Amino acid sequence: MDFIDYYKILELDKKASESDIKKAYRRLARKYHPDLNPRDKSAEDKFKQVNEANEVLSDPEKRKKYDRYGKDWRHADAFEKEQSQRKTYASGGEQRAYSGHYTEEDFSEFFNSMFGGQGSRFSKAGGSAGVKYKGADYKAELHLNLTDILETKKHTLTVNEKQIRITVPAGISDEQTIKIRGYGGEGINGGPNGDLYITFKISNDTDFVRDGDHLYGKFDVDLFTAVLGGEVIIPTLKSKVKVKIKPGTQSGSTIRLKEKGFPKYKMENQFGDLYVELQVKIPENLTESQKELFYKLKEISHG
Amino acid sequence: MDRNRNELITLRSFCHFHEIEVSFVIQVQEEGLLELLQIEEETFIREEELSKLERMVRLYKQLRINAEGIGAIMQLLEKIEALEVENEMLKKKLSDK
Repeated sequence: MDFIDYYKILELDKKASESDIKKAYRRLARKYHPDLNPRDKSAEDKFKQVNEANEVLSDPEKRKKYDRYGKDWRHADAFEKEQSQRKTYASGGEQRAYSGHYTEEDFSEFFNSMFGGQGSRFSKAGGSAGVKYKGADYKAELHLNLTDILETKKHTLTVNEKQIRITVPAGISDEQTIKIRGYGGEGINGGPNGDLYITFKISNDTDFVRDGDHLYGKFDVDLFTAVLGGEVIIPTLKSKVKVKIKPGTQSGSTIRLKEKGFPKYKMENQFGDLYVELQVKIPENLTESQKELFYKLKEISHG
Repeated sequence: MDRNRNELITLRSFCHFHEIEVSFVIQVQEEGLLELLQIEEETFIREEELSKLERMVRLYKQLRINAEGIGAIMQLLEKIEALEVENEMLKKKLSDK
């Protein structure tokens, strides 16, 4: 069980004056304010502690109560003595009752009940009281394959045990982050909820290389089609297309298949291009008659 | 126009909700940190500016920082954010090597 030393949190000793407390609170609130320490969870936690400490110590009544009970509460003897004096506990020396009851409680909850707080302990703050504070922003990752984002689809993901159904637009980029408003941590004191940031991690499960909306691929063309020209069927990401090959096509030349690339993000029915590098395959293991014909071809060409 | 209206919040209702003076938001606007829209007699805040303005309101209410100070802070926060992104990128590059 954690005892919360509010003086220690505000870096003060028990003799601190009201103005010391005020100054310490302002200094530490500035230091740990979540808006000045974005994405720093430890600063946010410290800020909450500083607020809680200030809430108690800046209010003379609460401070008196804290000094009286808070300091001594771990010392069972003192409590027992006090309890027996007050006769609020069952007589008959039931010493186990006090410590037994509270050791199982979270200390902050103990103080909540001590100071009459219900729910948010910020709700009763004095001074800078009642400030509505936005909840923490959450971050999540969604891993998808390239073929998962060819079309706009709904995906369900679980963030902090909450199921969230989101629509992932076709053509989203790797490492792209989208914000879903209000799906972060709960707001404090009636403040708005934080936001959820989802970063997409896209793995390429295809033979194509993606560069923005464009795709790059390779395709083998047999020597004869490359030399004489003809038609080939080239696979695209979604289907196949018939492409004319010019006579005398060189190995390594690239053809552009317009709008056969990747869907453009948030632009319905618009696509990038597919660039296909043609690789001319030189035949191997020729038969005798094939060899003869090639020799003949050589002779004619050099003749 | 109707769709746009849905994305606007009246300055009055914002200030009422956050219990702040209208003059604070006006000062923030004068610092060039926010754009307000005037449609007929009413002043509006764009929905996409809400989160930024709420951050400024918290700094004002919780840390008692005035509009000029908030302007300086916002600029520094932007700088820090850019440096963090650069730092992450460099870290990634180093680990890829």
